[in-house]
Amino acid sequence: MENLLYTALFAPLVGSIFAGVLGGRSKMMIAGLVPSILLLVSLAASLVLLGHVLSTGTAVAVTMFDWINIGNFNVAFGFQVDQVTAVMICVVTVVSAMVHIYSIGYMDHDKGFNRFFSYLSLFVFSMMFLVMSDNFLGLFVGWEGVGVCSYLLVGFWYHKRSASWAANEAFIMNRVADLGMLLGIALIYWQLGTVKYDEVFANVDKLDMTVLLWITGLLFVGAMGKSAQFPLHTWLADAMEGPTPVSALIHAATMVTAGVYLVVRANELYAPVPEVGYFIACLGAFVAMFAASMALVNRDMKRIIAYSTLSQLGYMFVAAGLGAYWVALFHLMTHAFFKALLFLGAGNVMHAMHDELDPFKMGGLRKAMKGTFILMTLASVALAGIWPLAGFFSKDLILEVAFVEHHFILYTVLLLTAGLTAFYSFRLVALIFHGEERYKLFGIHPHEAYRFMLIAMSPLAILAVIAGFGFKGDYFAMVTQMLPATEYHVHSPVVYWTMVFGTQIFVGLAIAYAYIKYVKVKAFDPAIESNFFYKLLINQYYIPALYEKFITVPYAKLSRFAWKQIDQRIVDAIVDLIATSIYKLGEVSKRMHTGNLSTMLRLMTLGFVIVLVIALALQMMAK
Amino acid sequence: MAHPYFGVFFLVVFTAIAFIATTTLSAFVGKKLAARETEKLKLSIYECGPETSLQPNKISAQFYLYALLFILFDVEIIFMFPWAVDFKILGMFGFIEMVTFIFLLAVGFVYAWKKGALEWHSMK
Amino acid sequence: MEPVKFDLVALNLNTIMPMLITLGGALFILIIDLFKKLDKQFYVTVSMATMLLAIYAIFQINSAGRGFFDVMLVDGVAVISQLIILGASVLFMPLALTGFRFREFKFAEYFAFFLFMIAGFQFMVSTDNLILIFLGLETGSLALYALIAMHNRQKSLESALKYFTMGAFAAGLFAFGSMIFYGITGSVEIGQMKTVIEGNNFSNMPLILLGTAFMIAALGFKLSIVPFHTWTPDVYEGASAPLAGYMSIVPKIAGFVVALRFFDFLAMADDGVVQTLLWIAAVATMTIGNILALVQDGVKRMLAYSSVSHAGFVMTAILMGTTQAHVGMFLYWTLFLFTNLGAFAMLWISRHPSKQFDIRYDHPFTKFSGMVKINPVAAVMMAIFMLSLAGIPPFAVYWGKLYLIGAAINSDHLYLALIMAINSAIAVYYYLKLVVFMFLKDPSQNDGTIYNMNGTFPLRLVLIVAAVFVIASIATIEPLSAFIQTHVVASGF
Repeated sequence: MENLLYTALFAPLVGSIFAGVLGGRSKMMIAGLVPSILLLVSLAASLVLLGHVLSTGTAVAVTMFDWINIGNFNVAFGFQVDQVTAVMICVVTVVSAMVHIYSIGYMDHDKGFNRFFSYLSLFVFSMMFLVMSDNFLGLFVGWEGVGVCSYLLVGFWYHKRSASWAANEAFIMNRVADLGMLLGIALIYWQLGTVKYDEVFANVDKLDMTVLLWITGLLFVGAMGKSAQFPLHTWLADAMEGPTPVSALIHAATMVTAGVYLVVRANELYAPVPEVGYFIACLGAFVAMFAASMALVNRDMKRIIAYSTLSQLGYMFVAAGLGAYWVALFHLMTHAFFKALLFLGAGNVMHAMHDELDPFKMGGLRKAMKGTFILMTLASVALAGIWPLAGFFSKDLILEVAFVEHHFILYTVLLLTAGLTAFYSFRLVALIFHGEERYKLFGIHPHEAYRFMLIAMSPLAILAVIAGFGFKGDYFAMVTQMLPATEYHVHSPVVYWTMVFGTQIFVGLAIAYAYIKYVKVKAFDPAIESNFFYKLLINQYYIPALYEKFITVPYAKLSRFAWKQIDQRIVDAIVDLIATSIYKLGEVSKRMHTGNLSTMLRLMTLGFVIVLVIALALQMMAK
Repeated sequence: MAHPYFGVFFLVVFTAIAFIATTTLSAFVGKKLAARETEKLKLSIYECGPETSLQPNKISAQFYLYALLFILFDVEIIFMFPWAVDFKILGMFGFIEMVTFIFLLAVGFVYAWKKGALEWHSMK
Repeated sequence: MEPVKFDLVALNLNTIMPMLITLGGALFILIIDLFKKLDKQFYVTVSMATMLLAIYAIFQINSAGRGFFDVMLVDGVAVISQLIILGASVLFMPLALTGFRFREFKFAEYFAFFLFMIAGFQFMVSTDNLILIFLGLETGSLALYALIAMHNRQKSLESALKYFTMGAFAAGLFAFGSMIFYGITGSVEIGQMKTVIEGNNFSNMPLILLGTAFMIAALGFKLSIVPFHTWTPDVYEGASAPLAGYMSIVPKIAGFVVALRFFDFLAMADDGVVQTLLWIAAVATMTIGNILALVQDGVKRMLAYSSVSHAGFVMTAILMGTTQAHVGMFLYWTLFLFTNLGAFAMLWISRHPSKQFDIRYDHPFTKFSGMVKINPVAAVMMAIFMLSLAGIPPFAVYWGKLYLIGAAINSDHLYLALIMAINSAIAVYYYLKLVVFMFLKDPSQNDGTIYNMNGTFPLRLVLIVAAVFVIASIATIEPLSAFIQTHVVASGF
């Protein structure tokens, strides 16, 4: 089992190194194939590990070697695969393996083909490291690793100014949040003297309430950064500058869910402080609504999907915040499948449309791209939460959780958001695949993607369909071995069935409305641009502008001041002064060395005398 | 006393000042008092004994080499004398040591000889 | 009187074997030269073989101890320093196989002198008898003066004469110092001096200090301690590059060992006078050496002053007097050996018999302008050696500096540690100056081969050995320090 664990963890790293070695060369097919095959190996190993955990119910744990050993501070490179991790690694490897294969087609004509696979595999390695580590510090290493890879991949087309800007934004925002997380980990170590999960969780009751509040709060700040929760959410939409497979893998399925994973993983820390949990839930609900509203009007296909991701992350946090950790993790899993599918479909559309992202310029693509049409519709249905697809089982569960826990406001917000979700999803589908073929105006001849790309997407599609009813039972049985096994039942059957059917009808109506409204659209109607709500939403509630005005610009000014006034005028001047004075001293003492033998001998004698005098003087002092 | 190390400090300053003062003073005095016409004497050949200008014949450098070698091998005899006196007490060990010593001298001698140091005006 | 009993076992001939081998090799070269003219390849081979044999002989000494009527003292320190001396010699020797012809290598005497010099320094480190130390010191030094002069340029003769005169003066000081200590203790052996002086509780302090002042001056000359260092730049400039590099290593390690034996117990006296003296000397040496190196125009002169500074740095080990410091001293010097070997070999490989770049210097800084563009390999190599000298991790000398500064902190010499750190920072400036010249300026000519016209396969091999060691030092540092540790501890320092 240990070897399997190492295989699952390190196979992506090997792939990354392999592709990285070829990084400087022009496109080589092997640089894409080898990492993909290694990922399939990793996937197989993960599945076996999952099977092991599922059948025996025991975690696989290894300690690789001592990592940090300073004084009393001992941390080992330890990994474990328990129930939560097993779910995570399977999700990660499934999605990444499919994305890898898909990318071989998608990045076909890109100059940076080899480099891309190197980064992508490195990301998978970091993500596996993140979820497999058995201590907070290892988690942090993986956390930073995925951050770096995200930076590299968002800025993959670094010659584009917007891409490098987005990469920087993502990186810096995450860094701000990571500080919170690092402080949280430091606090844990300071209080408990260990960072290992088992030992920390075993000693939670020893912690002071205030301290625990701080720890959970600070850790959640880290989670907010990585999972792009308000107010650190702006980077996610901008991160869509990266190649689409990256958006599918990192900014939808895996990395952004790391925040949720953290809260689930640290559930024993969150359990004693329901206040923090409630805050998390409220924030999640707010973000769910907030992001969905922005997705309503956006005219960028990928950004719409990104906002939808944001919104779904909000759902997960609601579940996690209310203590329904297994529900959060379940939604994380199903969401990974259908959202990755959605993004990959968007990638196909982008390719067909020559990187056009505005759905108002598409329309009627279902004829040209039948496979993509079916897959994306399937994903959208799953996202909207229609029975019997995966989204229904996980999302409805979250609604039930909110209802059962008597948080009716949260419930209402989430219900409304579910309608919005259905609306914008089908707005997108309608605009892209139905109606008139508006793209003809631009002289584009769309074509379907490579067959193997569609085949690579199909496992995700299957999972998006069956993950709900197929896995729920086993999943629940397994995960609740370590997570709180609260079952959320609405006691009155009448209320329950009303809720289920009501939601389904509501969602169905939203879909129908979106379809009717957008299927006949001829072109984008500029009249709407003067609408106040439209302006508010398309400008993302003016939040980026506010950040620009109140944070970025003043900070730049402050930096400039520190550079010009403090650094150059004061610090540099002092350093220069020291340097020049030492140099001058050298020039002066150079005169001692005339090269004249008599002077040298005299100097030697003088030296002897000085030594003697000092010696005798010291001797007198000593007495 | 203000500070236990005041004395050291004073001495260091004092020596420094005294050194600078004496050297500058001596340089100054030297410049003022020195006889300026010394170049000729400075550049002339130095030899102890009679004044060079009166020397009728010059002595070749070879002479010094000769003399040096002579002294070298001559002085080594000193080591043999005590050995010869105490030969019986020192016994075999002394004998071996002396043979080694003489062997080394012989090597030196052969070296000088082969190099032509013993031939007048024909150093290789 | 009874005849003297002659006991071969008590004589412990093993202790003297390494020196006998080197001396034998020297004599062999001298004699063979008388009968047959041979080229330098032969002499280099013989010398190398001799030195390797001597190293082998050192490893055969399995019982540390005294020998040869108790005059020889072969303890761990002697073993390490002999290994450093011989190792350095083995590495510097192939530098004689140059591409251009230089006059000194035509003479067999050059190689004989070289071996005599080594034997002298070997004697110096493996005894605590002041007379034998003196003898070894003079044997080594006289051979060295001749070697410098054999480079046969105006400057070489001048520097050899200067070195000789000052060396004679220093020898006089040494003799005076020994005399005073003999007067106080009635012995010429450092071990017995220690017993006597500690026995009567440092009662003759003024006299001891007078002797110490003489000794500091005498050894300070060998170690180039300020203000006895004035010969260093001139002599380095006059000597050929390999010899200059050699001089910065071998005579100094011999001097350090003598200083270690001599000052160790004096510095540990309760009143701390000698310790303070050494403190002042070490600090002055590293600081002034550094400051003067800043303003040099010739690389060789810069390296000369920098080696003064390094000597001051290592000098601190003696005043600290802890085992860690002593281990650090040998460790530092081993690492410094490889780095300086590389740096001077780089100068040597770029040497041209005519001075093309400057009227005065063979190697002005401007010679290396823009070297990276016309000879990148050589430039990178040189840069590595410079970075190592500057003590930038992970290159060799960094570990030495780390070890010594650590030792200073552990022995509560906090100010000293601070000064050492500051001096390391200053030193970075002038080493990087050369790197800046090589990497950031425009080349003055187009022909990159000028930088290795003097190069041959053996020279390049030596350079590669040095570079590999400097780069891979992180891997060797553990076993090396462990080896030194066992030997230093075994000899009680």
